[in-house]
Amino acid sequence: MNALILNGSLKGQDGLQSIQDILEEELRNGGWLVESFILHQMEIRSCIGCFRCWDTTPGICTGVRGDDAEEIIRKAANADILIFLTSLTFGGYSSELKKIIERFLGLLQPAMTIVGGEHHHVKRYERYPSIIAIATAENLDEEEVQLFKKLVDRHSLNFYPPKHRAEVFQSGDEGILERVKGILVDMEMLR
Amino acid sequence: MTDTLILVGSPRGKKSSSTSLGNHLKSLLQDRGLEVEMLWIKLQLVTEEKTSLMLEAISDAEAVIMIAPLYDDCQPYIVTKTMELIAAQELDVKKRRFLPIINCGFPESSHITAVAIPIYKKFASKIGYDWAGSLALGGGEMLQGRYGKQLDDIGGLGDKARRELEKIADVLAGGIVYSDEALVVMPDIFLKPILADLIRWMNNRMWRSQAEKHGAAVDARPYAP
Repeated sequence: MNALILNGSLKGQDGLQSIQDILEEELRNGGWLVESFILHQMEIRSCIGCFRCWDTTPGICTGVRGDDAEEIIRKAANADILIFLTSLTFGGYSSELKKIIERFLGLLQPAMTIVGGEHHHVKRYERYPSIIAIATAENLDEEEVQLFKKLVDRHSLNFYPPKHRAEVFQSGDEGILERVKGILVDMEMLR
Repeated sequence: MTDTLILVGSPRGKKSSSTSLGNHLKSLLQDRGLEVEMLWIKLQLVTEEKTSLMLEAISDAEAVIMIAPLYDDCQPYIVTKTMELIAAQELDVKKRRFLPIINCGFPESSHITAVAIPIYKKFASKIGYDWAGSLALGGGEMLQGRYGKQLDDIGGLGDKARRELEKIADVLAGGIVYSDEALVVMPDIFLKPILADLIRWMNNRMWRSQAEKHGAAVDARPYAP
């Protein structure tokens, strides 16, 4: 079983490193193969909305070439669990995390179907990884916390994870280890 | 101080529906005597110097209109990056007005109002902007901005968007607050069940044909194990 951790911390902010460390240790102890990327340390360019991953080279981003994104996209497509780490940014993802998420567009097909009364894109693959999204904030703002959870719910409607979970931690919370373990157990990643 | 700064947040840059909406709104605001500057975030973030110029323009604007697409249920990367920069630099924009106009390819504007608009609202309140209202436009692909079309080029398909931009121009010129509005770009008849199904079928077929023109299958699985 493969876990892919995408650490979306901004340059100069390493507050997510301790959560990444906990996740790596717990998952490895549970028998998972874990790979992590600190996104701001990699060369990742942003999506330019060209749709070449849909109409020219379906499934492969060829509008933005030669950076580190393709390796991450390929690994995300084959992971069993995808873990997003981000600072809580007005209730959403950090720019570093958002940059790679946008490059995942080709993991879906351009065709649309109706899901729950709304249009959504059709799956490209039979299976997708489950998603855990963990955000941290210096001060918890309940509106932002709820927004983040709703964002991950909505995002999951468009990404077809078998399971998904979003949590927000206050930076420096001493109970993070137990809460992370709890999430992994709830998601049946650990016994 | 500039009366209004239009920030275009499309990752496509100038050839985009956001540009088409921005050009039209700029013209309407100028007709009402307002001084308007328009910047494309994508073109400003390329160097530190241009980024600084954009942040200066934001500081100097009485009102900021953010016109952007929806990407993955929320802001495009370049918009989030700009919001982070505004927050990090602690720009003094208190009591200035902020109004997002967001479009998405799906017909339902609920994709936009569910999370993206509340994120813009949270950003505005944390930074100190006065919320001047918002517009969520479902079916934004109908604007054909990625083919370089302007709002006046697309006839009746642009009627609803043009009417709403007129209202926004009026309220901005009048110094009053627009409401939070959501609508679908295409005429209502296109939303009737059978026609909507037909349009979706044609759209899906169009993508398949496009891929086939490039010798590819639209449902290819290049990363399948």
